[in-house]
Amino acid sequence: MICLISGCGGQPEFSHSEKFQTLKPYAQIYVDQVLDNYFGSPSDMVAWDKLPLELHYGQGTVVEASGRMLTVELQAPHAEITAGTEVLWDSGILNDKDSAWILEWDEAKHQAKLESPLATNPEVGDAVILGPGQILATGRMLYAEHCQHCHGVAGDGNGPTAPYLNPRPRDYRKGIFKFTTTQSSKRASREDLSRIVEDGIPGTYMPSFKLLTEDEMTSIIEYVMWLSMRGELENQLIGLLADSYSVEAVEDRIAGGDETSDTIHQEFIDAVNDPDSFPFEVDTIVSRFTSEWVSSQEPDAEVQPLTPRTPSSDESIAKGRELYLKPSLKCAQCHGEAGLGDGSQTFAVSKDAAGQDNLTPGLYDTWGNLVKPRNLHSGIYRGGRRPIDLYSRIYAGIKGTPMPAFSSTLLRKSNPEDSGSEMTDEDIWHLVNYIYSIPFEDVKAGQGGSSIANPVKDANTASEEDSEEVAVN
Amino acid sequence: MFARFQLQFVLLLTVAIFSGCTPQFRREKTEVKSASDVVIHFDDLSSSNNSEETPDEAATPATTPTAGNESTTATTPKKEMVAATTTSKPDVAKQAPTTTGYTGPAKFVGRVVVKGDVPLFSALLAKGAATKDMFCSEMAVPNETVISKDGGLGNVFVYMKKAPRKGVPEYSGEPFVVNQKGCIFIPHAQIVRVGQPFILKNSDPVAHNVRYNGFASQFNDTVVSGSTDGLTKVIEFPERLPAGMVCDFHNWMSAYVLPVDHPWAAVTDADGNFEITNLPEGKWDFVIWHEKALYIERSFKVTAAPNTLIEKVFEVNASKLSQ
Repeated sequence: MICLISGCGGQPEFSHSEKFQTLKPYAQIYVDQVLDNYFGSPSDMVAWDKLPLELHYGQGTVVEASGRMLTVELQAPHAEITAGTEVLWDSGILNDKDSAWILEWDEAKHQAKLESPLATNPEVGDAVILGPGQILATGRMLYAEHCQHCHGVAGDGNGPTAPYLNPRPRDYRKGIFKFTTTQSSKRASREDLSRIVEDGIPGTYMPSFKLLTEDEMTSIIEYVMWLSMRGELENQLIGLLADSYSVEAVEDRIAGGDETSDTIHQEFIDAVNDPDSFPFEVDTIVSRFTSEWVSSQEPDAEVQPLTPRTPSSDESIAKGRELYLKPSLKCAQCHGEAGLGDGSQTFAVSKDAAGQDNLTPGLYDTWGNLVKPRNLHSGIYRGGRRPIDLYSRIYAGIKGTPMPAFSSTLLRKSNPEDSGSEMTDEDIWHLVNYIYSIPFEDVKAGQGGSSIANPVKDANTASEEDSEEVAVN
Repeated sequence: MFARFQLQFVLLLTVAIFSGCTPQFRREKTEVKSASDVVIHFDDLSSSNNSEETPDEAATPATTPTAGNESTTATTPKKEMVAATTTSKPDVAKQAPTTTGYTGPAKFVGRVVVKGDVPLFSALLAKGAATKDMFCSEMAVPNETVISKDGGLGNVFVYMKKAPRKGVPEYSGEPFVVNQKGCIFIPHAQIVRVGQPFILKNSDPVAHNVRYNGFASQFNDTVVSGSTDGLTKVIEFPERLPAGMVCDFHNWMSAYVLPVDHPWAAVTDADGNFEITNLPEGKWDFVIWHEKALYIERSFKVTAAPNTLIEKVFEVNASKLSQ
């Protein structure tokens, strides 16, 4: 009854990652302090301006200000600014003073009428933030409503629904997302994330959220990236500290002879207070993933086919089938010779990250989950069914899984004899055409059973409408 | 009548449960503050944390300590701990003896040897064994735990834990090549400099992929079979521990790569010997790590000065290798 009256468990909290508990208590406190300072808690978030995220409605500078009128120049693009939006003074004489609040907003002139007149006028060029952290706050609300029950409060893929799902919901904390249209060494772009939210992931429990407005979508994507960054900092920091300050490491070091648990503790405190030590390391971790996220958003991070899609034809499909079975590509090793997702690797015993044999034979992803190579007969493609989606899967692989990038293997000189000829990616398109044809291999009316030597006559089945809009980009 | 009353009660209870469990998020409670670089100080810890630092405190804590409960549990330091802090041992205790009569830049040489009965390691893939790509077993794939006749342990990483902030020589050497031949990664253990071109080759007639699974960065690419040019990658970020590399097509294939941002790192040869030269003056921590034995040393202290030669033999218990 007390539980009922007091509500169910109070404020939501970010759960810790699994390895957190292996640290010495003082190292745990430090991890908590770092995360709390830079990210806060779900009910009291911190918008850290070092992160490459759009956290505010808008940012800009003062053009003119007097009394209740404020004109600003905003860095485009910015979110919709509504009545009641906070104006935070980011520099100048009003910095650290109380915020102003917008009563009316004129989008054409970028002019605001404020709720109350300014006691002191800011100078021209002073930095202002409109709606500080509001995108993040909206994102958190939407995340709690739509995403949290599977993906968890901390984005650890371990919400209350998660244990009942296969495949498991994505754990964002590695910073890795599977279905992208970026190069194999890059992370997901914002477009990749929003496409997944918009279309869902066919064949899994991830539904489509097409009804979200554009601003809501932005908020969710920024919040998911924010959670991913928070989780990655936590994981990386724990990894760093565990080297020397896990319970096991400290025992090892004491057993080594010349150190006591006290000297190790003191060394830890010194490292925390030395700006060149842990604070520098935290900075390095954040700079690293920040630069990776930023570079993954740039146009050259995107997978760009060299040539327009080769039109689907019997010939192209036969070539694709030939490539599929080639020992130098080994598609069939996982996906099976018939494309049923039952290749020999699904029966082989692989090793986990620690080098131990996995108990169940098969293929495993970076998160330690058993993954099944796609059954190509189902016609369901998790990362989307546009030609560019299949192209990207082959070209750049599926991140965090054993599906590798084939860009180096499948791009070749258009004329093998002439080393000066241009590179071509038509082999990838042949494979794409072949993959599109597989679900219809043996159901074509009047064709009888499937035949490899004589592929289906009219194979523009699944891909017909797609092949028109040739997928460059 | 009673049934109806009961029903009402259940209804009420349901309402209570649901209203109790309404989302705890309220928009007005979301306070977002702008934070530039916050400085975290930890000075309060030295006084408040003593209670937790008891020597027998080995089990992982059941509850997460917070700053709040800590101040309440803070007690005076235990007597033996005071004693421990006062008897400060010289920190050279764990240091190797330096050899006199050596001239030249500071040098750290040594050997890793196995102590105890060396278990018999069978080949990962026996010669002639039935496998899907029969050419893989034309030659046996040897076990990657390399131990010489007199007990030297190969493929051990010895490296400076953290590069000095200044005075690290720029890297300007050759690209580094990893080949896949006979379904084996060659070499098995290798140091790379961050930013050093890293060429992946495949001399076999079948596909191999290279899944590099670092803590800081990852990639997964297939490598053209029979290629002479190979595929060039660049690892941009250093790692604290060697990162595993596998081929997902052949489960026995594995290799370890350690990207470092300094030149003071080495891998032991087949006899277990290593040599690190041109050490800058100062006191440095070295990590010694092997894929089976894991940490051999977490932080071995080396004091380097011109004309010093640091020599040390590290012993590994054979039982650690058979895991």
